Amino acid sequence: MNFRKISSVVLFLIVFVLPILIQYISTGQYFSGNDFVENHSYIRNLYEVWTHFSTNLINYLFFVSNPIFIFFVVAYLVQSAMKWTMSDD
Amino acid sequence: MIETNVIVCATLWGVFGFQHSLLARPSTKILVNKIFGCTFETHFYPILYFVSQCIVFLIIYDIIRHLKPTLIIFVIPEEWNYFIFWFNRIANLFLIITVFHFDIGKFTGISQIIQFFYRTQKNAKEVNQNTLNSHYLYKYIRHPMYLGILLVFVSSTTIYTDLFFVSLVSIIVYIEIGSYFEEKSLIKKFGSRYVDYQQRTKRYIPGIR
Repeated sequence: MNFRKISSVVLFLIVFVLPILIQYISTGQYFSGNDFVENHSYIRNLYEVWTHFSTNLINYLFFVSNPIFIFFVVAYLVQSAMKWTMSDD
Repeated sequence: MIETNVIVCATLWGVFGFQHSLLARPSTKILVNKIFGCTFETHFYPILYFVSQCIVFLIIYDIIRHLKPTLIIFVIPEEWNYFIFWFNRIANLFLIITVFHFDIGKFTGISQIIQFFYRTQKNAKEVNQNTLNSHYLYKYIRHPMYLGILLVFVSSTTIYTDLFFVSLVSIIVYIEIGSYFEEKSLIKKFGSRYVDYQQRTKRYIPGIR
């Protein structure tokens, strides 16, 4: 039973904690908020809101590459694997 | 005079909050059931709702992040970056752990779709049944996920602009309104069990609020 619990924790660490460490090693301290304020914030009026929206519409609708969608699908798979590991007595 | 981007930012958060709450309301589900039938409402609506929210949130958040702020209110000194950075990463993990407190398959609608196509032993009613979650983090606070969202948002930057604070206030207002209605329907569903849980557990911060 302990082994099953440990393997669930290891799976969680590999999928969710390891990427944080790898990112830190490769890029250092990165603040997405700062990056947007300094390099990507350009919209000043409603016309630019519309231009930005229409330019990126296809990317928005392609939900398979949506980071929130990907996160939840990965989380679902990990949770299912954890449940399966724990219940397989 | 209030800057255009401040109004745009608050409006976008308002639009997101309004449609997110509206589509999750029991009355909307009843309407969907009436129009498209019980099978659609039980098996397909949850995943369509989830996918639509992923898309709508991305659109709104992406536009908000590209708005040009007019005013930098304060910048945290660089020597604090290390601390803020790791605080943010820990907040991210905290948020992920809160997600693992509930059945992600049911939350995203994946379980309902699988149940429809593979006709597992569980019937649809069983898949949609919820149990009162008062274990682990939920033992200490009633909305750990909302707390996680706030912590991640606050620590995602060290440059605090006017738009950052407009977003922060919008998120807090939405969380307050959202959790009020969520708790109302939970009381309806679980009755005195939820009221007891409310009385012994704080909303967002253990022992404080």
